[in-house]
Amino acid sequence: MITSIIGFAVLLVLIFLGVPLGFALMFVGLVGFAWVRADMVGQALVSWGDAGLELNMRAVNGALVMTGQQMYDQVTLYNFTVIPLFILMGAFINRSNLAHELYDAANAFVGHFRGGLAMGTIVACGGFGAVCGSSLATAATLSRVAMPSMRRYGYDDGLSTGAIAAGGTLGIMIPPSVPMVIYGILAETDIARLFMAGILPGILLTLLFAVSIAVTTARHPDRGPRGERVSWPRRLRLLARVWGVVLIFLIIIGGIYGGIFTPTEAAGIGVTAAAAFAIARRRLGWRQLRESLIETGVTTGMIFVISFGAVIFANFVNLAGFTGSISAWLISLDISAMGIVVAICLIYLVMGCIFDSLSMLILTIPIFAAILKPMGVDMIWFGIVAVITVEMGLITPPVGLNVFVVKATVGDVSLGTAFRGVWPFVAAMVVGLGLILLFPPIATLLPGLMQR
Amino acid sequence: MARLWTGIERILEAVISLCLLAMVAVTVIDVAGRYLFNAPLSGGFEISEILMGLTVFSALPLASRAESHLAIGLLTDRLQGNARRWHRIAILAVSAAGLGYIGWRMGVQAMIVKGSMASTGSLHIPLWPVATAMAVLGWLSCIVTLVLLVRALSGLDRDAHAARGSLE
Repeated sequence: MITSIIGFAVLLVLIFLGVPLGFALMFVGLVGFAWVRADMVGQALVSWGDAGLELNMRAVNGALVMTGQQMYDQVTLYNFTVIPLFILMGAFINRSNLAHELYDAANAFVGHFRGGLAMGTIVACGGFGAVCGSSLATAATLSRVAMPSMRRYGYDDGLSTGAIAAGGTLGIMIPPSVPMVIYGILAETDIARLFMAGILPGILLTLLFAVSIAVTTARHPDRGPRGERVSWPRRLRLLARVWGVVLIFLIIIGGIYGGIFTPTEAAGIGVTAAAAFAIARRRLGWRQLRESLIETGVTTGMIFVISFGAVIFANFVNLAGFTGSISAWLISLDISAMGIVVAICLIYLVMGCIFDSLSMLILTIPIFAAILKPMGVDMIWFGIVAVITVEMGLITPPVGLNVFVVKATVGDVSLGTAFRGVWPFVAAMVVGLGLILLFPPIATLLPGLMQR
Repeated sequence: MARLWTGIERILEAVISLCLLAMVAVTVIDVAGRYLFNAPLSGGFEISEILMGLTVFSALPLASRAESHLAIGLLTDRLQGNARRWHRIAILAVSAAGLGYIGWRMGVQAMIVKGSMASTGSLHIPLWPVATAMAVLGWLSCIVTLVLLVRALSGLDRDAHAARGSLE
């Protein structure tokens, strides 16, 4: 226990000193593992012998072999192949310039409400998130698409940027989603079921965001004036133009739901469909193809370096008995699983001030899963709770990455304005999280309906 | 030196691109074969696993050159002048050690795989060349980082920042 805590402390110091996460985790995990290995047989890792300082070579070798095996196993694990495929699909979707059509179609339906253009932004984010697994990509794209028209209608900058930053989080909630894939692998949970579990909470959050826009603009009508009402024939015409997004989403999610594809296969089909779509729209030439591929490769490589480290570190704290004793302690305290999940949410909110969502999941899930599973917590439900909480970190200060991206893309908005505008949406997310904590079926209903 | 690196970079980019395209192709052919022709691509998943391993390790030298390993810059982003330079040097040294470690262990892993003559389950693709390639690419990333380290120590690249990648 003490060893684990020292390990965590050293890890935090290294991370704050700017040591890349993957290497910090790897080294602390390596040394810690060797230390515990020696300690288990009542020996010290380093001792003072006849020839000066002596290393306990058996323990060191144990740690070396463990780390090598872990890295090799991970990098050739079939389940992981879904990650580069979904990232590549997102890269193609990004380049196919779909967001404009999505935004126009969404606005045709809600633009005439008070604050309607901001609601349209949220809906367009949800649609974009349905085919793109990244939160930041969604926020960056919609900044370029939605901001100019909200400005034209005299929308308050805070409301506009807040809506875009918050809408971006839907990119992760609504499947397919790269963070959910990573959660599924690390928590050893079925990815297909996780994807299904994200659908209703994603819709719920979309509605809650719209409600918070309605509330804001009811109090300050000048912040979000009404847009023009669009006739029904035109609405349907605009809706028909987003058929590509609908089709790709239906193929992937329908295929996974019906058990026709595994998630990896669905990702492969999705990449192909997204590429065909982008090529048909003349958005994917050789140069864009090359950029998409290299970007995907490098991102995948970066994810794997952290995940090497995280698994090595998790091996250390598991061997040191940390997760086991925390789990046993929590069970002995007789706290309900709910209390612990709420505590974990608080930990995520604090971590969200420092880490981005993917590294948070990679760092914590191997450990939290080892603690929560023996307690009988539904890991699908916890996955959705974790993803929402991690997402909240993306829009709250001081690190709120989505807000930074929106600010960087829009340019002439102050960070203060952007963060001020995001609070109503944070409140909406807290309400959404509370509902999912209180009514787990919101997350577990759809996966429960799936065929075995 | 610069031309050598440009050459290596082109090769790595080509490997990454081809691996990813092949992964997509293998997956699609497998699904199409199973549902349309009732003939799934046997061992498709083994090919995908190998291709992913190669993609990840080919990306390592590129990420190392760009110093884009994911790090938290909360406390160190505002360093200036000499403090920033020495901080970057320290981070490069740690990164080089980490990458060298990955290369070393992958090399040992390659030896283990070769000794046991391990191959994939249904296609019997021998695994030691794959593991060896990973070890070589791990060492290449280490060398790239060492070159950056030596340059930094001799006073070059003063404008550069320490690793500060972003994942999304």
